Amino acid sequence: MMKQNARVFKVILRFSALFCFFLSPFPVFSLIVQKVKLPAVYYLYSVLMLEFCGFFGFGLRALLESMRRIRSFLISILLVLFGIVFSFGACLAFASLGIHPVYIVILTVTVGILYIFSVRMISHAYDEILTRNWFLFSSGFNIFCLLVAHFTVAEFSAEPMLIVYICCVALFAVILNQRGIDVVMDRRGHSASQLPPKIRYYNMILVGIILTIALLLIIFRTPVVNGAKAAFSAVGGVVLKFLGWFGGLFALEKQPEVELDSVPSDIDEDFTAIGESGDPLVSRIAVIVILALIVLISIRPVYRKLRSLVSRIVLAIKKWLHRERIFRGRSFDENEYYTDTNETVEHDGKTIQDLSPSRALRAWKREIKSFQKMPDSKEKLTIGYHLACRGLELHGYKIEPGDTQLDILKKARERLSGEAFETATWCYDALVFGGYEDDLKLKEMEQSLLGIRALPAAKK
Amino acid sequence: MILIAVIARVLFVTYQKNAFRNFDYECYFDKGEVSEGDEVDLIEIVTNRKLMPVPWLKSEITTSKWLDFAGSQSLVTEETRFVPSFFMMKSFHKTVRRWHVKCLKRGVYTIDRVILITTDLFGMASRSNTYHVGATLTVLPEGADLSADFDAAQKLSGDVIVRRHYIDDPFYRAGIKEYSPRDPINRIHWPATAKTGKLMVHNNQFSADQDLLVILNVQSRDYERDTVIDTEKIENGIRICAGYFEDTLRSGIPVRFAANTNFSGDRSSIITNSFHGAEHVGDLMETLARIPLRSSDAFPVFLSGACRELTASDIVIVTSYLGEAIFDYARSKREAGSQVRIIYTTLLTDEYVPDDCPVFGYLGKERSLQ
Repeated sequence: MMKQNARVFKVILRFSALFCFFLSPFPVFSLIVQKVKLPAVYYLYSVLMLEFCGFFGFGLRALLESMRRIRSFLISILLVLFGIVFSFGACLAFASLGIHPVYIVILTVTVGILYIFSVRMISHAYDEILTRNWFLFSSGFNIFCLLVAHFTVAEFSAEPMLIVYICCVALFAVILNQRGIDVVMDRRGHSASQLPPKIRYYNMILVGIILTIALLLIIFRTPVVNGAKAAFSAVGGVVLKFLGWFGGLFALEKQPEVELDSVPSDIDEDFTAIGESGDPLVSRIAVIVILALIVLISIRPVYRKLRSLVSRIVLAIKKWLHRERIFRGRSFDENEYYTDTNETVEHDGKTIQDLSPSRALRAWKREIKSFQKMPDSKEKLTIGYHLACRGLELHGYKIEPGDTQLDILKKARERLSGEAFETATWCYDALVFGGYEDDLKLKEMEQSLLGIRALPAAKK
Repeated sequence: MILIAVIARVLFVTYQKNAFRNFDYECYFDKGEVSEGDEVDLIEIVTNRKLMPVPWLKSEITTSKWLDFAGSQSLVTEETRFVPSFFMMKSFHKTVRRWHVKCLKRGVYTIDRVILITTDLFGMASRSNTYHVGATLTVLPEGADLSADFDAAQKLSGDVIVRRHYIDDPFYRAGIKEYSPRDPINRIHWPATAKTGKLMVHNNQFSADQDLLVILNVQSRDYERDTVIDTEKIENGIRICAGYFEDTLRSGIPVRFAANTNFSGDRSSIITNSFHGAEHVGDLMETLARIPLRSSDAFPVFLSGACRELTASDIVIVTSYLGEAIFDYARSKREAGSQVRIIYTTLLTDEYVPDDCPVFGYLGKERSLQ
């Protein structure tokens, strides 16, 4: 089942990679759409055109290869013929738009090249489609098209190109991540079945988080840059003030009364108003040096504090989620050869408790109420006994996994008055080990639970 | 593009520097001492005490092939079992992994160090770290069944060796008998004399301080130097010794052990003290577990040298081959009053066995069950 899931996952990745790969020539289409001033919907048509072209070539090759009767040289001839026909058809379609013949030629050649590549993609695995070379080529090609657009198209909008590029890069990041897992496993001949379950999904979530941060930075780049600038100029202002004050001290020794007033009261962002008596260039260099020193000295402690703060916040959120039983991963994983126990820990490595004692007690009391509402059955007796054991634990009785019913009963007798729990215990014992009679003693069990509930809470 | 480059660089540097920061790894066996065929858990505890997750982590455990675990996930080469173990460590996460290990053969197994390898999200930065774990497991040999696993070389009918001493034991009385001139006067049983009208005396049993000496030959062939060739024969021998040691626990007789091997690799031999009890037997079993498959001396030399002065009421020689030197030693010890048995570690087939030497062949566990 797991193997099948992994195979399906890789097929999805492969088709997603193909989808992105076929969008590689999109900058050319985007450039021409803007140059010819076609409506915005033509971006969508371009995408559809490219995908159709790519998957047509890919599908055709796959179809021909699946026909065993056709020989390989015949397949090659047929693919070339189909390519020519397809390019011709594309050429006619572009011509129908009434655009300049040069553009028609460019688009037709682009489609033709894409067809050739798509035909070759049949034997490529998911990680062989979007490779580092592709990433470098695609990035370079996008920059080249942007430069061409900058010099040839007035009011060029880079957004469509950027959106497609970001989508492709995001998928490339995912593929790079998954490829990393496969490569490190294959290098020493390990099987993918040895991996912990859901490692691929978890890795994808991490990649998703990083991509989201990157996307947010791109979207809010202006406020981020402005904020950084503002912070930098604020620090610069403080430095300037300090320099002014510091320079003033020296000036005071020479001309105390006059120079005191000459400390600049108005500091502008260009750092030009430093000490009227000082050289502006020297002051500027001094400010830059001091800023650099401040950055160098403070970057590590600031980074550490920031890291510690974020870490604490995340840990607090994790604790809360853990205790509220939200997004909790499986505590146990079983494999043919081993068993895994997963826990959430704190900074010191101590395991976070599932529930705080008070919350656990409240949850237990709620369970007693639902026990009371249950119809009479053997199951109810079992649940009741387990509830009683948990209740005893919550009230400070230490129950070991190896304790028998008798051991538990002895511990309970210390503070639990009455015969109810004893009767219920023997009834449960008879139910488990045989020899029980029709009377399930559920009333006694309920009385016992209420008795345990009335016990004073365990001291912390 | 700049942003992508920056993010990639930050990820690379962060993983390179912090992958093993606030990160703990432990590896140990849940039991220190088990017997052959027992199951034990090898526990790996990985704790990531930081915000940064470790998306892929591999621990490489190298141990003996005689600790059977991880099945097809492990790689066995000659005497080594290589087990890769993969983890996915979230932030503030702890994983306790229990490998179910079956101990196939006796020995002292250690896992000194475990190598951890991790990579970043995009496979750019790869870090490895070695953790010293020092996990040790002693697998004691499984004792042979002394009542079922042996086959005698001699005919079952014929002479029976009996123990008899010159002086009987006055504390062990077997009954009464008629007086003979050799009987001391103080042993006359007066009530019986009165009843029968004849002089009757107590009939005492013969007794002696019984102790056992087990001599193991860690040489599988008579012309073999140092390293053992037929390892299975020696393993059988060790099991037979273990069987004898376990037997002394029931009977309570003192036992001592001698073998022409040692743990240090020089020419000395193993010769223990003669003692009884569970603790001593436990020590002997541990010695058996640690015995290397390497002899320190030729067995005839060992017998005539280190073993010459060793005495016991019962002597068991466990050997993988038979030879005149062994028979001579057995004869000399019999003449000195000891009861000697020679245990051959495999089935007796065409081996020459003199009539005056009791030789038993070891059937092996499988055969004895048939």
